Amino acid sequence: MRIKKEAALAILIIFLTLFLSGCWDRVEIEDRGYVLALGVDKYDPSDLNKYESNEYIDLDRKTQKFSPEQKKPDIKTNQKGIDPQTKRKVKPPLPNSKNEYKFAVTVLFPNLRTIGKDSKPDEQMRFLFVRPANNVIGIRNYLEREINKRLYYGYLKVIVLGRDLVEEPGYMKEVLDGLSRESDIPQNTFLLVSETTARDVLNTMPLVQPVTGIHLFEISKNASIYGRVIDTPLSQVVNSFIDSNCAVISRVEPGVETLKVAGAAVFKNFRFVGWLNEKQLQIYKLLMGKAKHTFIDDLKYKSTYIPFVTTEIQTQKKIKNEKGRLKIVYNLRIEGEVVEFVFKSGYKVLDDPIRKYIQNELNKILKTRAEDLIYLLKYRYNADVLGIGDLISKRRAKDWEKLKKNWDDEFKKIDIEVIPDVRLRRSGTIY
Amino acid sequence: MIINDNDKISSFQCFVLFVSVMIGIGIMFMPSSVAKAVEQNGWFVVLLGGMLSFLAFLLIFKLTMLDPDVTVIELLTNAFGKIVGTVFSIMYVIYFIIFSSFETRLIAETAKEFLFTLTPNEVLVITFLLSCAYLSRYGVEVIARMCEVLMPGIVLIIIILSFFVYQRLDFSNLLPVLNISFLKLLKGIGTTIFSFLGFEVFLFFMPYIRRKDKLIKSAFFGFLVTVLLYEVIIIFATADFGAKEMQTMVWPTLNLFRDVTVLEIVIERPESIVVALWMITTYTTEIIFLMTTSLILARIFNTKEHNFFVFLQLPFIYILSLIPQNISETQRFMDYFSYFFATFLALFLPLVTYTVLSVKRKVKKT
Repeated sequence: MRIKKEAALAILIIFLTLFLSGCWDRVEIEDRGYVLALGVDKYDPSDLNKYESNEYIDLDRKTQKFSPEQKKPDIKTNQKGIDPQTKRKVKPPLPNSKNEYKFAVTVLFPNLRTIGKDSKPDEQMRFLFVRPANNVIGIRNYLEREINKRLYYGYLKVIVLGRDLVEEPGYMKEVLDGLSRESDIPQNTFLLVSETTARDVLNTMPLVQPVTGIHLFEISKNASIYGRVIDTPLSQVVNSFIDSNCAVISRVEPGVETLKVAGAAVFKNFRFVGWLNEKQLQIYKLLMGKAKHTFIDDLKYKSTYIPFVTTEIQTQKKIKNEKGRLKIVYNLRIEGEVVEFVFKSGYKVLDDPIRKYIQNELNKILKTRAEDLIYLLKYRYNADVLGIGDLISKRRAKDWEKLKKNWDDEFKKIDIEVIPDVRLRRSGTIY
Repeated sequence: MIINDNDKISSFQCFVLFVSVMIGIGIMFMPSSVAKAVEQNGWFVVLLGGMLSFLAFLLIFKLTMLDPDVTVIELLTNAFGKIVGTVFSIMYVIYFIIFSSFETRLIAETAKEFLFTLTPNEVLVITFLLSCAYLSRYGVEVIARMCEVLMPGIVLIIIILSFFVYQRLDFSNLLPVLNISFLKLLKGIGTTIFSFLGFEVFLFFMPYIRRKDKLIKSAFFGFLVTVLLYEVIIIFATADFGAKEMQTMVWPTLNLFRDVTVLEIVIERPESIVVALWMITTYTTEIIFLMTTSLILARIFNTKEHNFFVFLQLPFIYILSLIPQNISETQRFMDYFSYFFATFLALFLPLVTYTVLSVKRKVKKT
């Protein structure tokens, strides 16, 4: 009997260990650090020198809670960070020509204690760490030495790439590979290119939403509503790099107490080739069929600028064969309203001479702006971010076989015509 | 104790069994391997693959209808004699054991990547196998009822998730249509084989089916639901990622449903739901395989009960499932397995048996 009982107990224990294995890698929510934003810069050796400078070390000592008499032991280390007396490794090695780091990665995660009840009013809302590293995603493994949280990328909102980094195609490839390979990272995370460094961007505390990651995420999310911002989720960027070797990534400008998402960076063969400003971006979104609403305020009538708010936009792309050459025609159908006009002008906005005038002028403006953008993309950047090659390969597979060998040159030869068709429908509450 | 000899399954349960046994782990990887072969024409290849598998099933049906009251094991013995017949039956046992170990390894691999990053592979495999074996000890009817409960939920959840995926699709990625050579098309059909395999378990279920005449109908609807579900997944995946990006992915189907975001709060990052869902679909496939193997063994050794054979095969499945080094090697083995072993047992052997038996009958009559 006793043996039977013991056997039953043993089996029970084995089964319990097996069936409770779901708790094997459980992590409490307080122990997790939910990384909201990741910044990647090219590593600059002068950065680390800054941290090693006397000024910085003095500042570090002042902020330490040691009494002034009780000095921190001053250990002199050699280049590899090893103390010559004890032969132990004390500091991370200083950079030299042999061990130069590739990236400087910025990690931002919110302070979850500020959400709870027992939060102190002076507690900071977020934590920011900048570390040199050779791998972007692997940075969390390095940070685990100094942070008592398990860093988790599952709720990553934005990834900011520094201006120096995007100049290097090799680094860009490495970053993109890491981001699309790691299973934790959501593929709808937004990518942004900083005008300066990613660290500057993430270091800024915007007034309205001090947690920078959420701030940038929410702006990018609104991009589908506003015409001046473009949203560039990771999956889409990776996709366009794979399809056409070119991509557009939204741009962010750091300010004092604000961050501005405006314009976009154009990439070709993983290399940054130039910026698109906000107005060019507006047209780019129109041509890509991504614009839902947009706002055009270039039109001038007498001394008033007439703002035109669009309510509905349809974009159609067609391929025509003209004398053996392919021609791409974009038909833009835009409906909208005029929200400001000259008060008591004698004209009514919706009535015919002025309505036609506004429509024609807007058509002209859109056409010239589109032509400027196409010229810029064709000859200055030579980057097919409009997806022309993709379009031809899908609709005219036979023609594409001939064109794809030297697409860079052929892209310049292809005619692109934009035919805007603006319809003025409403004028607010006054005629 | 359930009396196994009495259990009979209705034609609706047959339909459910078809869907449950065919939708397994294969669909997780199918879009990428199809994209490697035929780029954006995956939807067409899946359609053809489904039709071909249905034809293969018709052959199996023909064979089993020669004598509907026995399983294929007796038919094999009739056709080739006692020794050769038993050898072929044991080949089926080996086939299902290898098949189960593929399913087990792949589900463990998927779960490890997305759910239990620190749990050892061995633990995942053992828990999965034990929970499958628990149910497989019962008869066909119990399992059919279990599938009846699980299958509609799975199909429903996949369809609901698809609606949320729909908003970010770009259907121009499916163009140009059918610009591939015939040879490539054939190769593409080959890659879909593994995803449709499983219907051959009906070689052994004939005595348990209540309305044999309705089996074709339930098989047709079973194949229809499976093909439709695969079509939805492959069309959506191609439209979302494009054929080029899909070739680089390990789990295109999971990636498709992973980044579904509904109203920020309601559903965010449903990957754990999706992985759990696929665990259930694999679970239904696995229980049917385990039970089929033990049924064959019970027939070979002429025992009344089959339930103690279920646990007998677990060690083999466990060891086999841990043999491949990584997921790509598993997939390579899977390809060899489905090209040679499966084609032999699901297509070639039934064909030969059918011819031999019908010739024998004609000889007897004359």
